[in-house]
Amino acid sequence: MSGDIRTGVGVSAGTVAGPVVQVAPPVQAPADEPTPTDSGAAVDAVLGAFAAVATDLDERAAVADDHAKPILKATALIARDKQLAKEAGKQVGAGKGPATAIAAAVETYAAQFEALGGYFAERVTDLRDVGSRAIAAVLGVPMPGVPALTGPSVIVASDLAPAETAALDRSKVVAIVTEAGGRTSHTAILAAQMGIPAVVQVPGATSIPAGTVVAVDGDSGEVTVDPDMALVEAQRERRERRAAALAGVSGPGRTSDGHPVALLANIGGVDDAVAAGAQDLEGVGLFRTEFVYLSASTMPTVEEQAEVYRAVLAPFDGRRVVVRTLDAGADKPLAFANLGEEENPALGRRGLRLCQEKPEPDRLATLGAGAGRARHRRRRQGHGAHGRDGRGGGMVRLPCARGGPALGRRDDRGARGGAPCPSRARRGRLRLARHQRFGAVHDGRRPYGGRAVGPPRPVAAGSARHGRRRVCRRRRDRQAGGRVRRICR
Amino acid sequence: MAQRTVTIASSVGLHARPAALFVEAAQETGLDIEIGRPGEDAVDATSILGVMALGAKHGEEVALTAEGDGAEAALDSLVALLSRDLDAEG
Repeated sequence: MSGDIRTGVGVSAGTVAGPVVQVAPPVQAPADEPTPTDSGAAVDAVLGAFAAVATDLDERAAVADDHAKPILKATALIARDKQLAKEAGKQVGAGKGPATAIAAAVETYAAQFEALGGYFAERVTDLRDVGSRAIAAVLGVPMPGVPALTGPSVIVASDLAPAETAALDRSKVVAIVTEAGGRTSHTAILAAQMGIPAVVQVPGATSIPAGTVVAVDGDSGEVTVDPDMALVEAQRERRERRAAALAGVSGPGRTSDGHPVALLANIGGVDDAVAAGAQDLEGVGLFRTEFVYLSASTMPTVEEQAEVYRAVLAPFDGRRVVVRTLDAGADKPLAFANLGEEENPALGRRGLRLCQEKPEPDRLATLGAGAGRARHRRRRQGHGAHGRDGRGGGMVRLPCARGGPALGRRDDRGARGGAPCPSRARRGRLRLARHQRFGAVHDGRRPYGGRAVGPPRPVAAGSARHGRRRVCRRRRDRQAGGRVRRICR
Repeated sequence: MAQRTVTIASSVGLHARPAALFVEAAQETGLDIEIGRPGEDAVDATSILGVMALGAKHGEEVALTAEGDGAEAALDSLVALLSRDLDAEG
């Protein structure tokens, strides 16, 4: 009999069993940490904590890939910094407990770096990460973040930040389980992108001890702690059937009754593009360019950007790729496109507004148009404010487009962000959107009002909904036998 | 005491990767080495935070000082390191 079953929301299909690796949340110094009675021992604890962090980071650097290695090594250097240790020691001397002293020392340098601005923004994140790890070491709690993975692992977390998800070792993560999150969270998207099962909103997930084997069912949303052999075997059979079924299909996507549904990938970089391009799918529904630059501290050069876009577009020769320009901010901050604090970053100065305020990232937009112009006719910008190449308007389904319907085609269902390529028949509507002065500033998950939008609903010509929205006069005119006077209003 | 001045060649200045490479090299010498803008307070060249907080940019001149055996040779190798565009390499 299988053990404990926890039911969450399955967000990425598939079944797998594996040992749990817990991702610990960031640690803060306790607010009421007492003044140490033995300051010598407290200083030793601080030094020991920094040394433990440095050793851990070095170990991770040793097994990391070429991209992550220099970052981990540089972070280890910070943990080993004599000046940082000296400053923490000074704080202990002033009567602070070891955890509080580490936090204070880190903030001293963080303040200096923030004052320097620009290039240093990213290093402040690294510095605070070192601080958080050292505090965890001093307090004897697990180090925050995704630990070094030694084998196939089921990643379990309260929720995963985009930077964490982007840094996951894809060769070792077999499933993702979170206690928070939702159908449209980064975890869900990333897991689907990686083609691994994922379940979110699993009660008590973070209290499952590390190393415990769990069976994850991304279809039913069931996570079984300590599954018995029968379940593991049944899941394996399903996995094989699924793989065989997927291997046996080809051609354009459609429902069983013949309705076309484009199969479009959701990608965040070159690796995704290569993986998706090898599949029998119709293109990319959304290339989220900001994910390429999450760890960049400086504005990527024109050449660097062009190289990335070329590499992303190459596997899709002849197929459509919808490019979203930098949707940075809030939970996806970019060091070089930081506009500072704002009250509501999720609805704030990102996307089009970011381009307006900070013209440099706009080169990304230009390049998105330029890199693949020769071979990719069907490709849109995330916004249409920039010249002739800005085909289409807002990338979101604009629920507010003057009486227009949600922008989206039936066959784009499932493409997150709702950034459909305009078919000829829809150009009129897009043209409508293009001339609107609405910005494409959010990710399409929710409209401005906060109500969740589902996939675009089919609107049958002549239905009450169609008529009420006063969308397309042409069809009504045609039906009435009249001349086409105008396309839309 | 050995002393050198050198112009930062890294296109992004002495931060992040170039700073880490420089600090590692300085640590490997095992000597007390300081780096600073000429005529200003210098910082410990083996401290990544100190070096980054210096915020030396591309084209800026910095002064290196070192004491002890082999100081001259150590500074020569560090000067050579800073004269390269570390960001453009590997």
